Amino acid sequence: MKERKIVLLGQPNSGKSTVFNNLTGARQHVGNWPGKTVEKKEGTFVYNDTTYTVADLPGSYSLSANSDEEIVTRDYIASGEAELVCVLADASQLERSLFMLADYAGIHTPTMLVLTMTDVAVQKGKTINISVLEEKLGIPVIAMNATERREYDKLHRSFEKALKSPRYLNADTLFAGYRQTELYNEALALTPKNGMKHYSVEWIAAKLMDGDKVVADMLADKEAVNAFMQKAKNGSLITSDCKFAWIEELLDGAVIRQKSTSEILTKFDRAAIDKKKGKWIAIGIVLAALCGSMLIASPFMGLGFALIPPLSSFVTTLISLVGGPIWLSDLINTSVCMSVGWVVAMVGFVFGVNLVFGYIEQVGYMARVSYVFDNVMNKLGLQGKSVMPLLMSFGCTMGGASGARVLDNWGQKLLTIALAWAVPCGAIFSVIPTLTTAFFGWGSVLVVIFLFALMFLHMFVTAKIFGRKLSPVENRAGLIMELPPYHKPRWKDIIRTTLNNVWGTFKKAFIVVFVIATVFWVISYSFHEGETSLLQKIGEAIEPVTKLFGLSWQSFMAFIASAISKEGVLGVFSVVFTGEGSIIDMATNVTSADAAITEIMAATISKPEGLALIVAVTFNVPCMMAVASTYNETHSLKWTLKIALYYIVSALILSGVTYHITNIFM
Amino acid sequence: MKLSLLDALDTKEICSTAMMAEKIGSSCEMVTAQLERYEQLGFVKKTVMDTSSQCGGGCKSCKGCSHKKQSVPVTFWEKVERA
Repeated sequence: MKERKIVLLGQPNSGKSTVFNNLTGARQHVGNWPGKTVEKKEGTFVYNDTTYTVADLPGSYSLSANSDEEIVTRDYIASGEAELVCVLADASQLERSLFMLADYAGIHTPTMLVLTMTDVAVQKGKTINISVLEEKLGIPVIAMNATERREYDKLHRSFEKALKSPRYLNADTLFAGYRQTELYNEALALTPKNGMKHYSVEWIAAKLMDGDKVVADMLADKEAVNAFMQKAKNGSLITSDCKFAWIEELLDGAVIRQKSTSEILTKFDRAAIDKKKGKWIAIGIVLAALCGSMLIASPFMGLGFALIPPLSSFVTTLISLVGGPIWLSDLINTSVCMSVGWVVAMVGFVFGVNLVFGYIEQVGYMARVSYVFDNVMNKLGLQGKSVMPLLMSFGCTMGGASGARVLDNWGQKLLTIALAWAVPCGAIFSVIPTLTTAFFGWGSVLVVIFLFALMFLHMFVTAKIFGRKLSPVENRAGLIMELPPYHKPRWKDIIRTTLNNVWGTFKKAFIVVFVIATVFWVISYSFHEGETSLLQKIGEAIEPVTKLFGLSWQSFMAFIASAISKEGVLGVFSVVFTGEGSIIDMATNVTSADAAITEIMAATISKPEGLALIVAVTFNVPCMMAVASTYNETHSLKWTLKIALYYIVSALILSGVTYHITNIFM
Repeated sequence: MKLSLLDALDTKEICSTAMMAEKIGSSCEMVTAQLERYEQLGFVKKTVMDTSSQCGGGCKSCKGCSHKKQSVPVTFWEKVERA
């Protein structure tokens, strides 16, 4: 029986191990390459009275001496022990996987090419013309799905044929590409005229360009070689470009791509990433999404506020039945019943926003929003990568702050975090619509649009203030962004994520509203008739100043609470606008026991003050956790405090300006 | 002569893979393959960002947000100074 020896060469995930296992089955043995800790896998199979020994070489990207695996691989090939080198390449991504063949070119050994994963290539709409490839390469080429057992007969026959009439890889055009560079010609002058072992002069010269020290050590004129290696520091870039140019030429006419996406989708995408049209499309989609979110949220909001009166009545009746004190029922009503009502109303928006924006995200559109707004980012002094932390801030400012980690430049990172604070987070998306609906009903959509416009203005001004120092123009770099393809949304994932976020918000918001409402209740409650509470005393003392910013002292307290956590606003209003005691009477001038809280708020706070409050809360410090997260990321207490102070002052200025302007018209 | 991918990256603007491919007269797959190679050589840096992360995930008891990922990660490539 005859014996033949074949080696399998390919990049990781090229299907090499699948082919090896299917060829050899149980007839395998695993050991180590002599003197190396690299695994040596060999196996045998019999075909037409011939025993074939197959060596599965370690998977590596190329044949450069970067690792033991790569050195073992090329040494084995160049030893001439194997009679046929079978190069494997993933047919679905030939641009990448043929790099190994390009790197192998110049090693003088009989060769054949096996294209695997043909099924994936077909799914990607690629058709490969094997005969064109065979003609260009001068070696046998076969295409197969390595997981299909029935395809192995074709492979066996190809091995037999390739061994019977050995053919060598024709890479003349690649070498011609190399020769166009002066550096390569200098490398050629250093190599032995007939090459070394199975390595051709072209291969050795290319490896010298790559800075391959093992190859350099093989050459005689050490001094000249060392001088060349110093000179050719970017040589690997030149050889890589030559290899990719060769691959591109190979694939020209050999791979036919069919259009897989619909014409409408292609047209839409062209418009969606167009620098001018794309922005208007993005604005339109975001506004439509906000309206959709509000529509989904409105039944929840009605339910939340409708829950408060029966819950309060139930608690009052129960405590009165057991002979409990009035202050206890008032405390439970304020801290528990009101909190439940607010939070149920609030999670409606969380549900709506997560559902609608989750859908937009999953179909692959959201990345395009960041893409089309890149030049806006540039104007803000940021690079394109900053877009993503800013988008993450729509979920949570902490997410935005930690997302800024990907920015290497400290100044850009800090500026990105500073701007991320101005982006409305998830908590704002739940608290602000609740307040806007209370004050403006369906006009709240316009208020939200106004807030977005103000957000851009705020970011622009903030960038101008901090940007010059933190992010000079010379530190900004060009970027390539891989836009994900459009695909059908996975509704199961969207619903699961939405419900997770709703539940998370419910728990967090309830705790915040409950704690703040309880604390404010304690400092605001008057146990004796005519007694002025602590909160009221403080409030009356500061009101002359807070009025400058368009805020009554009650609204100012809500503003302070919003710096701890946005939901704190609802906790303060629960105390101020409901329950019993002098503070309530003073704040509302209505008997609040049976009135809905939103009606009381609308009756007590004027529209200009309501709008000023909404602006102040939106652009205040996001929350204490965001402050801590900013410090963690920047490691600068000075800058963290600077940003916090800037946001408090700017929120109050914006609030004052909003109040005094809207007061003229409303 | 064709514009090289690295030279095309010298602009201070963002560019999609498709636009870059058009700019240098190549295909998206080729651009990605070249970028992967440049990353290995240290000329380019790859950053993968996932906007579904809602937090830093740095707390001791926190398992991060990986259990509720719904977004598609976005990959950025940028030219860097080779060390």
